[in-house]
Amino acid sequence: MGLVVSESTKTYGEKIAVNKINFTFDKPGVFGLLGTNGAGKTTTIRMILGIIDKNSGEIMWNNKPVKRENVNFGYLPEERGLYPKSKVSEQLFYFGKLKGMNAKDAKKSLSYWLERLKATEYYNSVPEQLSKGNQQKIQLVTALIHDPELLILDEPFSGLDPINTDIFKSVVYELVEKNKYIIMSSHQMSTVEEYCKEILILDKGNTVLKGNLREIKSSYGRNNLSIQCEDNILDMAKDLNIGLKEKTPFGYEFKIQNDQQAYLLLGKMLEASIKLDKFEIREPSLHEIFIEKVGAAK
Amino acid sequence: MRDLLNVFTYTFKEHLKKKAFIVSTCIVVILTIIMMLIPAAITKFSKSDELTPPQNQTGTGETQKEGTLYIIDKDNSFKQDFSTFNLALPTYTYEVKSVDQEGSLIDSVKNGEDQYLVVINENNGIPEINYYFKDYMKGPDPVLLNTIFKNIYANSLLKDTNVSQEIVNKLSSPIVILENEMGKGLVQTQVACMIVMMLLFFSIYYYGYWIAMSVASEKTSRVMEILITSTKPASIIVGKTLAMGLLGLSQLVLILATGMVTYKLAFPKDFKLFGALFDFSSFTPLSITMIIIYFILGYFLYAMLNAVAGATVSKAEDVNSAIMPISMISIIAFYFAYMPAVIPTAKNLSFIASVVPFSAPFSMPGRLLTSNVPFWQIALSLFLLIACILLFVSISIKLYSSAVLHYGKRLKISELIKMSRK
Repeated sequence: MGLVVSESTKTYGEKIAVNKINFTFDKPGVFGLLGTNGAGKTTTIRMILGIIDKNSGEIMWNNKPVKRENVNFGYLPEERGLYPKSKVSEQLFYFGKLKGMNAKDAKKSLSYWLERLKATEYYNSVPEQLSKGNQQKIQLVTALIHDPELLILDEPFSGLDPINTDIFKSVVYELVEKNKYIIMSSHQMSTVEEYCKEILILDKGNTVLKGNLREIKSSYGRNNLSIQCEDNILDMAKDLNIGLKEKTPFGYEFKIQNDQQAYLLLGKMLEASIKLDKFEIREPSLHEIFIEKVGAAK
Repeated sequence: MRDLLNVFTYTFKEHLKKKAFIVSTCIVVILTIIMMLIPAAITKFSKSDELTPPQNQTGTGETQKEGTLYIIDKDNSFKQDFSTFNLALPTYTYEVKSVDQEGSLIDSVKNGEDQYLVVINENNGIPEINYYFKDYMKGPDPVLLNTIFKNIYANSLLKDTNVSQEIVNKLSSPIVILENEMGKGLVQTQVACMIVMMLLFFSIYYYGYWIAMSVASEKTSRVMEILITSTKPASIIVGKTLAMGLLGLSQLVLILATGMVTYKLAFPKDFKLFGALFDFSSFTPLSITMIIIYFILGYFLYAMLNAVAGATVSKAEDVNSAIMPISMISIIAFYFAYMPAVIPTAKNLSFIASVVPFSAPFSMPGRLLTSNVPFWQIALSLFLLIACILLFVSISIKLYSSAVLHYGKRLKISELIKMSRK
C-alpha cells in the first residue's frame, strides 16, 4: 500500500529537471516535498500525477503504475486553477463529475466542503470576485470533492490569513485522521514541521536529504541554544567557548557542543542575576537544516 | 466518453450564457434582417424614380439632355447629314462644326462639362472616328456611337446606290434578341454563392478563434492543470471543439432561418440586380444540408488546429500570433475557393478548390449553388475532407497533450513536434 517512486528522471532538452528521485510513502500521513523555486518539485508532482512522461524510472501506487485511471488523487496546484467568470458551484460540480462522481454525490460533497471551509456564501459567486484566500478555499474543494486517496497539495497555505490558515490546518488534520496520503510541497518550513513525518529536499533536481524528519533532526543532535534576555551575555558565552550563531532582536542563537556547555552558561547568568525570558537547548529546525543542505549545495 | 460529454455539456452551457455570445448573436441576426430588407427599400425608391424614366421619351424637344456632341466631318463622308442622330441618341444634342474649330472644341471638351467631340476622317475610303471625352464612362458609349455612325453611313451609301427606302429602313432596324436562360442564373446565384462563402468563412474562422482563445484562457487561469489531472486530453479537446461547433451551428442555423423568414416576408419578388432577377431559389433543402455539412467539417478541420495553437501559448494576448499560420491558410484557401467561383470559366480551378480539404468547405457549397456538380466530385470532396479531419484530430490530440502543460514562451511548431514525440 502506498506510493513508491524509484529512479525517476525527467529532462527537458539538455536540462535535467528531476534526477533519479527515489522515495517510499507507505503509511498514511503527510509527506513533505521541499526545495527552492525551480528545484523540481512541480515536475516531481506532475510525474506522480502521470500528466507528464518520465524519461526513466517507475512510479507505483498500490503496486500499480501511476496512471489517471489507477489513482484516485486530488490536486491543489500552486497557482489557482479556476474559471474566473463561472459560478463556483457550477465549476466545482463540473470538476466533481470529471472525477467520475454522479450528480447527487457531487452536490452532497460540494455542500459539505464549502460548509467545512466556511465558504457556503460563495456558492453562487464567481472566483474573480473573491479574495485570494477565498479562491484558495474553492481550489481546495476541487481537490477534495471526490474523496481522493492520494492528495497532492502544492503550497496550500500561500495567501491565507491566520484564520483561514487555521481552517486549512484543521482540514489537513481531518484528512490525516481519515488515513489519507498527502504530499505537501511548501516553502513554509514551520508548517511542514508541524505535519510531516517524512520529508525529501530537492535542489536542482537532485535529492539532497530525505527520511523521517524526527530521525533527521536527532541525527544533528541538540547543539542549538536559544536564549532570550535583555542583557549582553556575549562575554560570558565567549569565556565558555560557546560560538554565536546569530544575534536576534530579543536575544541570541548559539552553537553548543553538548548540554553541559549550556548549563554552565545558565549558571553564570543566574549568578549575575540576569533576567531570563527564554532558555532552550534544541535540535536544529527544519528551516536551519534546509538552509544548510541547500545553501551548501549552492 | 462520459468525460467527453461532461466537457461538452459544461463548455456549451458556459458559452451560451456568455454576454459576448448573446450580443454577437443579436447583432448578426439584426444585420441579416437589415441586409434582406435593403433590396425591398431599393425597389421602393427606384419605383418612384421610374415614373418618369428619361430613356422612354422619344420626343427630342422634351427629353432632358445629358450633354452636347460636336461632330466634325473632315472629308465630308456623311455629307453633313446627321438628321437621324437624335432618333438614335435622344439624350444628347448634336452640333455639326467646321474643321477649323477642332482645336478650340478639343479645349472646351477638356475644360468644360458634358461636352463631347467626334472628328471623322476618311482612311482608305472608310470613315475613321476620333472620339474626345473628358472622363472615362461619361458621355455616349463608344460602342453605341459606332453603331449609330455605321447606320448613318450605311444609309447614306445605300441611298447613293438607289436602294429603296423600305430596304434601307429594314436594314437599319435592330434585330431583337430574347434571352431564355435555362441553367442556374449567373448573377443571382453568384450573389447567393458569395454570401454563403463569406458566411462559411467568417463563421469557421470566428469559432476557430474562439476555440484557441478558450484553450489559452484555460492555460492562463491554470484550470488546465485541474482538467488534465481529471480527464484525458482527448476528451477535453474533442468535447470542447464539439461544444463550440454546436454553438456555431446553432448561430448559423439561426442566421439562415432569419434570412429565410425575412426573405419570405419582405423580399421583393421582382428585385433585379445588374438587370438580372435576383432570388434565393438556389437554396434548396439539399443545398442547405450541404452548407451545414461543409460548415461542420470545415469547422472541425480548422478548430482542431486552432486548439493546438491556443495550447502553445501561456497568455491570452499571444493567441493572435499563434493562430497566424492557421489564419493565413484559411485566407489563402478562401481566396482559392472564391476566385473560380466568380470566374465561371475557370472550371479546373474550381474543381481543385472544391476537393482540396482546406478550401473545400468554402468552395463546394458555392459550387453547389451556382452549378450542377457531379455526384462523384461531391463524394471525393467529402471523403478527402473527412480523411484529413481524422488525421488532424489524431495529430492535434498528441500535440495538444504535449503543449497544454508548457508555460513560458510560445512554442514553435518544431519544438511542439519534438515534444510530442517523446
